[in-house]
Amino acid sequence: MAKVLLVDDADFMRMNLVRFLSSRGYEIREARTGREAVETYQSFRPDITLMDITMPEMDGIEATRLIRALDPDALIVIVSAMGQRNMVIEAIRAGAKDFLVKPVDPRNLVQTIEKYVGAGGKA
Amino acid sequence: MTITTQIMEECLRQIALEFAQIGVTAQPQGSVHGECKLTGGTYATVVGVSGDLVGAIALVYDDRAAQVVYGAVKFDPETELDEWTESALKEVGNILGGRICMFLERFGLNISLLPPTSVRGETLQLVMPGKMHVTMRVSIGGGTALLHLALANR
Repeated sequence: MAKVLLVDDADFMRMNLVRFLSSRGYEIREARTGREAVETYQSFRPDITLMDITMPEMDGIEATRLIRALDPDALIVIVSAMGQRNMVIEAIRAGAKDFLVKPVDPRNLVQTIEKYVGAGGKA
Repeated sequence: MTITTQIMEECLRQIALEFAQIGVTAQPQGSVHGECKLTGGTYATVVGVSGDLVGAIALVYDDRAAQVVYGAVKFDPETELDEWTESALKEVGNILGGRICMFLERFGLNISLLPPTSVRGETLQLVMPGKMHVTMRVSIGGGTALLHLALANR
């Protein structure tokens, strides 16, 4: 089953999504900041990363840039409340594959994961 | 482009329309110039703003409104307030802040949000740094929340 790195500083969001995605068989690791995301990415090597933007220490755009520098094949989907056009362009330039605007229905999140990695792992 | 109270009031009207689509009544309360003090409520979420503007977005809830909103995001209307409430309300503030960012982008104003903070107390008093301040009263399942925008041009 696919490995998912879930990056969000909101404990409630992570708790809800970990519960939802775990129940569908995904292997999940969590990170609360962009810095934690970069560190966890290197040890966990997820199939896909779900990345918030607004976070303390390091935001999701910078973390995306750093992760893509480490692994040019990294699949990163931004999941953020800030859906302005400029933000989407900046995220794509940083290397994000897709951009979902919160609030996100968890079922749509699963569809997005399956779109990029299938049900079993990196496509 | 610069922010005006007219733009901020239009932003609240737009949010009120979006609330109406989910059956929530919201009534803009007008604008105030100068530093504003917010009082009342038992939970408050504050989202700082950076970029073209400075200031903050604040949501102040009474207990009932906090419970209803928390129940909505947990998909459990019978839920009680617990240790996850503040985190859930912060996320609601973040999402609402995102809607405001997208609205202001139409006026050429590019802003980012800072990570939300929350405070809890019987009689909250918040001082917001914006020079222009608009407020909207939101009626939620028998409770009340106040949405405040306090923004200034950089």
